[in-house]
Amino acid sequence: MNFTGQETQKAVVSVILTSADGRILLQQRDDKPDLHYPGWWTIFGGYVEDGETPEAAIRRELMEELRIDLPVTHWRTYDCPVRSIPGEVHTRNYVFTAALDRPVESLTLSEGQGMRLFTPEEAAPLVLAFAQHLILRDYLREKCGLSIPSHDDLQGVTAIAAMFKRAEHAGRAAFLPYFPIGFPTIEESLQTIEAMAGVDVDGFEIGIPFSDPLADGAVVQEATQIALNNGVTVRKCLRAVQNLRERGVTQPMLLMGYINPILAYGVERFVADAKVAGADGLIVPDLPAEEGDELAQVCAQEGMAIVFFAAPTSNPERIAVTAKKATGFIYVVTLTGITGERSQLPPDLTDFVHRLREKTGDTPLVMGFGISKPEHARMVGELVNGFIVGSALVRARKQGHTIARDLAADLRAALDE
Amino acid sequence: MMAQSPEPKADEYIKTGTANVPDERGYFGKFGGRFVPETLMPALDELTAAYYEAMADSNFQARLAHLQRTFTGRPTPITYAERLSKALGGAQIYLKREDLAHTGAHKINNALGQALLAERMGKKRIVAETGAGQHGVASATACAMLGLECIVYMGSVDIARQEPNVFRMKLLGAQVIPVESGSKTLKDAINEAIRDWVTNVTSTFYLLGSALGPHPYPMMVRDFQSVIGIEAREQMLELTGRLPDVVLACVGGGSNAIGMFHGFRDDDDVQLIGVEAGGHGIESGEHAARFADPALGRPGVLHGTRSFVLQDEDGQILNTHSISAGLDYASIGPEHAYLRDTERAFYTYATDEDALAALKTLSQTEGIIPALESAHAVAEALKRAPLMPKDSIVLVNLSGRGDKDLGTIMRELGI
Repeated sequence: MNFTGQETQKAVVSVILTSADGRILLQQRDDKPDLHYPGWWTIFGGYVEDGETPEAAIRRELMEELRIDLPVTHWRTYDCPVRSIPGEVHTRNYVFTAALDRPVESLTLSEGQGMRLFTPEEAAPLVLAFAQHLILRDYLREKCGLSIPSHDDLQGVTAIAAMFKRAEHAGRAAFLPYFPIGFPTIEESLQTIEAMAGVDVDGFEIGIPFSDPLADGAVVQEATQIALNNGVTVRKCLRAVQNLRERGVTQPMLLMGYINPILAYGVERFVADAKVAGADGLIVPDLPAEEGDELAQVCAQEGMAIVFFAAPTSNPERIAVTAKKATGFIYVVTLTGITGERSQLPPDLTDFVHRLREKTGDTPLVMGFGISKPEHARMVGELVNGFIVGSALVRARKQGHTIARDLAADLRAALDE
Repeated sequence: MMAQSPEPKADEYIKTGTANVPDERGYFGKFGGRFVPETLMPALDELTAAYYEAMADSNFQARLAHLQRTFTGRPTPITYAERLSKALGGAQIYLKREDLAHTGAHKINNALGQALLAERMGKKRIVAETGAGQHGVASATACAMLGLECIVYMGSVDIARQEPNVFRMKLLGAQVIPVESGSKTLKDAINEAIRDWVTNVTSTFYLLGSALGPHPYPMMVRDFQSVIGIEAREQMLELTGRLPDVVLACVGGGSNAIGMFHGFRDDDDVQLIGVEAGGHGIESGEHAARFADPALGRPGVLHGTRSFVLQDEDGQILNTHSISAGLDYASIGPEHAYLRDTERAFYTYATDEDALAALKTLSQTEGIIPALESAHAVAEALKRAPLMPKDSIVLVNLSGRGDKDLGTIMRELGI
């Protein structure tokens, strides 16, 4: 976050509440659409009011939110910037600890929709509102002796680079399935992605539905329209990513969405929230490199990848511009057309890749559009650093959850042969 | 009262005037640009280069001017609406009769220009989208005349409500492909035409029908339509000895309006007013008024260009409503957003009801049945003229004729 120095200093207080058996009590925020981070888990806390000491503030918050008065111990003070609501600034967060002196069942929650005790192991993968998991994870490392890899060490461009390195060590290309959030329902889409994560795919392209997906073929159009009918929004997609992280999906996730919903959400806020949710990069099919400077700049600040495209029609000058601006990888469109399965891939892919390599140097190339079968996977796997399969998996999902998972497994296994 | 305009010189037909927009990236201030898949970007570069080359080629311009005269029937006349002006008791109303152009609307100006460009670029396969069917008919007409293959995408909802135009297109040898995706109207027809273009980009020319889409379309369509304003300015000077006080045009994507406005944009005393489709009224949310409804109409990107877009909070494009299919679109040409931003033009709206009443009034006072689209501009004239002095002049762009709308009109008026 960029501070201009003009902000009003706003202090917040938080308290990590522990039970006698060493579990941590977290609060679930209300599920109101006008609220930031609706439904997200968070640490208890709030703002310091004028004239209050931090200790008085946190005891007041405990009284307001849980109707208890507990002795608290100041643990740490975090200076900015633990992420907060865009446009508002918390420059200082006083974090306290307190031991609960009574069972949770006897507490009265008067703010938020719920609360729950988490063991340290359960709490470690959580992504909390306002990025408070960064605080919680420090606490878990220090006080509970958990070894948690630092989130920022392996997110965004770094995580994507590590993905390619891992695949390269195994002597194969990386496989990234595409799947849209909300098809056939939100929960089922999460289950499908989770199941694909379980068959050792390398990363994901997570689709954000849009009403007018002009780069997509009929299969993805239909699936994303169903997702929209299910009430999927950008916000829900970000929450889905967070949810997948909490379910233990560790592979890099790139959000694939058209530019208008991102603009409507706010470019800076979108990138920041995507990062907090646990995403690693963005793919925007209607944003050519020329128009992508603003988004690329924000992504660079946050360490998130921004993927641009190269197509068979791209001339060397355009390829050079794309290579210069893309981070993470370059999305190589195999054919002139829209997404969708093809029985055969174009015969001249080798020449095309050679043409690209002259301008793209070491930037990884990932192919997509039309790839649908293990034999395609083997073929493009020889040519480039990775590939994406979308329509074939979405169509398989129409026939059932296990069929989609099995196709992902087959595509992945083809790379080991 | 038909004006006998002098024989137009070729280079008068297409010129960008003193307009310094768009810039080379296709931006009109903060609107415009190119938001399309990478596959199309080289094609847009190629199209831009070919367009500039054609503009600089006097043979191309002479051929276009010749066809405008001998095929389209240009210049279209200006009619003094004498009985209507008297009845309203205020400003004198003049009508630029684009309804008298071949195929019955201004759409032919652009279709002919782009089809000639396609021919020049050696592209034999043309794809186009259509809502009401007017642009589809104009494209099919130009393609038939030049011997080009023509494929028109049209939403299945529009096919049902514009049957005569579907038949006309087929008769002209075009293939009409029904679009079943999304709302099955113009927006989806554009999506489908773009998908076709992405797939067949090397062989195919996309003949876009309004001043929309990625650069160079908004500029190119404006330039091909600017013949309306250039003629009208000259004709008004000849007929009335001065420029009009107010120029009115309806705005869907905004091609007839931008073509008309272009002729007057350097005349600071001429007020330019665009009329959007107010549908069932702004408060109903069922309209296509991108500027008039700040809750739903916000800057965004649709179909490759940044402009005002009717969208929900989440950036999903909203379905629109207008009695006139030609104004029933969620976005507006980026140059209109720019003209509004710079306060060179102003925008208002007319509801379905206003438009129907205006259509009836104009039919009965002047013997001219306007298209429902054009009736929106007439409706604003009916509101405005009585409030203006008798020696003031309002020029209305009568962009098309109403024959295509008879079914709708009969249904709505209960005839």
